[in-house]
Amino acid sequence: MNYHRRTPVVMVFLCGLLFQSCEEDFSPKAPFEQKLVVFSLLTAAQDTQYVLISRTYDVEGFDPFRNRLSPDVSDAEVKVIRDDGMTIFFQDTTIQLDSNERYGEEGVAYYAAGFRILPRRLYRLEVQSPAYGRVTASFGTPDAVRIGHSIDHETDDLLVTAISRGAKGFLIRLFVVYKLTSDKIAVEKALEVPISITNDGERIFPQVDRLNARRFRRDLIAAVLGDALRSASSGTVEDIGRRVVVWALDPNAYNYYQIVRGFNDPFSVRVDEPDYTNIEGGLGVFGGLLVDSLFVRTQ
Amino acid sequence: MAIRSDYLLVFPVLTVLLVVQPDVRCQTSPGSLRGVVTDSTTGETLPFANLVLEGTNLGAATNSHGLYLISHIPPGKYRVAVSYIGYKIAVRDVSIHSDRSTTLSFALAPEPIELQTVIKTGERFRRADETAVSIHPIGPEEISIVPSAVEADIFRVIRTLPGVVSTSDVSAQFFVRGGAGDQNLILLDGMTIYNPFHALSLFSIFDTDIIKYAELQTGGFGVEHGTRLSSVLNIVTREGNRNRVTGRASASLLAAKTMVEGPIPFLGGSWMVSGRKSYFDGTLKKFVHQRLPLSFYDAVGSATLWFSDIQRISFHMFASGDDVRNLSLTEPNYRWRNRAFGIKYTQPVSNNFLVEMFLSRSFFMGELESKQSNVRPVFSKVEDIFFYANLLSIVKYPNEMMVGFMYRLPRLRYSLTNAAGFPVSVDNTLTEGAIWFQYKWGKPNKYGIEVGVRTNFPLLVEDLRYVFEPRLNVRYSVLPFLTLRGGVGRHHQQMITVTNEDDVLPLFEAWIPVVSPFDPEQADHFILGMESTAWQKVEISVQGYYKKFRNLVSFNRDKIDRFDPDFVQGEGKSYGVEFLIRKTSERSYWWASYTLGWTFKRDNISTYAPRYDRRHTLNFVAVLKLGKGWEASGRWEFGSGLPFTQSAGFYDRLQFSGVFDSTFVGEVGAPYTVLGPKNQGRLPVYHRLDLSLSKVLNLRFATLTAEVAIVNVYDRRNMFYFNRSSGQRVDQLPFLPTINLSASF
Repeated sequence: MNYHRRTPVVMVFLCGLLFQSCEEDFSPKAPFEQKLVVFSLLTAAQDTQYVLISRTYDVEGFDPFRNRLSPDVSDAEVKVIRDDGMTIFFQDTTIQLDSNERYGEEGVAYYAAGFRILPRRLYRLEVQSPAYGRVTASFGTPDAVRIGHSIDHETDDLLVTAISRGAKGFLIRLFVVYKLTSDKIAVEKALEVPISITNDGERIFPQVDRLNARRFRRDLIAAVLGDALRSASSGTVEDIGRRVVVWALDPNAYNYYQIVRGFNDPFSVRVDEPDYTNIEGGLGVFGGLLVDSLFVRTQ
Repeated sequence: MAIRSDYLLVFPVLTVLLVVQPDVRCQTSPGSLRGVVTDSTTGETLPFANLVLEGTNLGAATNSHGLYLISHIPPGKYRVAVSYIGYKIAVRDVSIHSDRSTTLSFALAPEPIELQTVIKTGERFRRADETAVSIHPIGPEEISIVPSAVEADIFRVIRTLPGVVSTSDVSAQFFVRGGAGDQNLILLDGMTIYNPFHALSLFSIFDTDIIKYAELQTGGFGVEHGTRLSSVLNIVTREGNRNRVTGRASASLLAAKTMVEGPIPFLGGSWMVSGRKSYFDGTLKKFVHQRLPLSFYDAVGSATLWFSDIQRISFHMFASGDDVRNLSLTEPNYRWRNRAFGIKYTQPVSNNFLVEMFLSRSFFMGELESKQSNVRPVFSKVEDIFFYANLLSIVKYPNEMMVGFMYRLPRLRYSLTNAAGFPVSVDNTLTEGAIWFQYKWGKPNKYGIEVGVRTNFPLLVEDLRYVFEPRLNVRYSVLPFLTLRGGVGRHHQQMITVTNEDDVLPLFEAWIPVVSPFDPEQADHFILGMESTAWQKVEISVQGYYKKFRNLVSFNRDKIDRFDPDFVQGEGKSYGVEFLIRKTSERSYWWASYTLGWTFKRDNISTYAPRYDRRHTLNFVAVLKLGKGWEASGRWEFGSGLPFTQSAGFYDRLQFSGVFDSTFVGEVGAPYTVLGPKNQGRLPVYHRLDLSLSKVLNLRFATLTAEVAIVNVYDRRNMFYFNRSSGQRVDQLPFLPTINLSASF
């Protein structure tokens, strides 16, 4: 065998030797950049509003549950400015956490009392933290919710519609309101009406949806009333009426709420869950919810 | 989508018109010559053999079935010479009569091949007057010299070719010139194979012993090929020995296989059956770093009947299956199945027509059975009926005209549990139909031009989107040793797989149709290159390519709710330059390929490099015949880092679960990974050296081959992926010695 015959195999081998010692530093992580995370859905349903402020975090390794240090930010200055110039300052407070597994029993929230959002206004949030910087966000509230209802004369189903210009999503709920009298004490109670019942007997209640109309079946309303009767083992039940409650969500609140629920799409073939934020310079969501209700007394 | 029944007559009418159209006669009333070229020892047909009528400029090459047709021959006596690499030249005299077709078949005797010489079999399958660009023939020799990683695999040869990128050792999936994995049309004897992988994509499902030849076309494919954007891999299996029963059996550390072939008595024909079955899942532990209770099998069968020297019908079948059966109830089970069946009929008609008709049915099913695990169940199924008819007319050598049509009816089913927790089932039937026309003319050894058009027929199928695909390929020999080649073409694809590009190992690439309101995916190819044989036994090829993609379907990253589509259509482009050099000598054969490429995709959010965008790919393959049956081979591959999306920390994401009843205050969010810009990180470079040494022993009753191969000789830690949730770095194949024994009888 002469030299030329060996050449190709030798070249292959040399290539291997040449690169054998090449090692590179590799990190699956981009440089960690701390960001503020803000969650706030202002509502017209209550006169105390909350803003939760935390920060992004990194861990040694890749398991986020290794982080036991609360990411809550407690040194922030938080204010909401309405488009007419009114400024609402938020105060920090300690709150009880629903779960104490990761960060203990208490967390930090910012609240403002005596403040409800109004329809057709712009709200701007400004958060300034000495340690973590500044973020801003804004949203516009939809128009006041107008509720309409009617009876489908063919099925006796209750049809509810809601109108609120500027809202992207609605949650339309129906409650059967009844009076439970026991030992001469009358208590007004309400039970929510489902929109369907599965074959397994599971009751499906209305979800946030872009549609502004909802049909409530007569048989399901009757079933809920039956539940009320059964729950009153002693005493009497009097059907008082129906209460319709409609929530209208601004686009930011709606987008975030749907994204974290897998798009709320029963026909999607997606199994991923992307992210949504309208916080400039940070993460999270700042949005608003309007609510209105209508009571229809039983004839 | 409904088929208009009143237009169904188009099919038989078109076929009849094509077949029985009157012969175009010239004033001198020429005759024609046709026949088949076979191997004298096995009776196997020899594709792309060259025939020349000595003293004229007339000639032909056999087609993929060994058939040839030379038309417009002035009456007279001629001497016909047939040449084929590795075979003795055959010369016979023949008389051509006016207005008559003369049949003359050749049985070529193989050259006595010494064990220490190289036969570059892939070269056999390249036509001298080929006008197509970017075509890579692959013969058994090319397959055998690439050191096997446990099992010899044609896909491991393909990844050494220019323009081809593979993302890992442990996936046979390949990407051609910036195209996605689903843009490769994979044909086995004409049958479409939808998921050509075994064992979580570790191996191809094609046993190399059954492969007669293959060709990968990485661009500028002819009008007869459509429905995919990036490449066509056409694998042709052996027809079987027409003279005697022979066989082959082999065993590796993973699987055992056997192949038997022989003549069909009385009817005149041949058959071949082959089967492979895994028996040792312990070997797979090296690949996937965990014990995987996996078993797989594949089986191929074919039978060919010759009604005459030039008229034949062949039957093909293929079956493969993979099962992962975990004993634990908390571990899911997986199941994949491929089935295909095809009938092909080939016959010369009149003096200058060759008709080929093909009917096939393909089936693929993949299932993930969740059991009691937290993995969501998935099911995917494709059933596909395909009919194809092609009429080739030899106008006058080397001028050819081709007309054909195809009709495909795939049914695609897909079910899963989606992100919202709902079970979803999708069931679609797609209709694809196309007609094509191509004309090729030129001057042998000087130039060749191939102009064609392929279009579907919306008149036949309601809702079918109209697509128009012009194709042009040009060859021009500037000097006897320097040929320029170029090609442009438009291609469409209506069946795609869509996966989350952040998935590391997508186990289920479910096929879905691209239906209204989306347009079919589209790619325009522009190719320009040169080939040189200036130095003896050295071929050099350089090609540049530019591909423009439109309507690429990807996840809608802006989807909010059920009113938003799951998918959006975007754009893409890829461009690059490829170099290939091959050198053959009596006892050595090597090739080196280098690709410099860029690929970009744009969806509704951003422009990014897809995960198979590799800037530099270098392959070097060599075989050395050492004499006395000893053979050494090696392969070295280098690839620059592939893109991935880096993580940039976490935040606790709130669900706002109680916002409509009380308040969200007090809710503790679930950790969510903050990702950096899409695919802006790069994995480390990849390189690996494989070597093998084999010895062939010729015994009286059989030929024995023993091979020892070492994968990743210097134990390079090539990263496969980095598990974002666990932080586990998963490397590709480590130093892995394997042994393979086979016997031919």
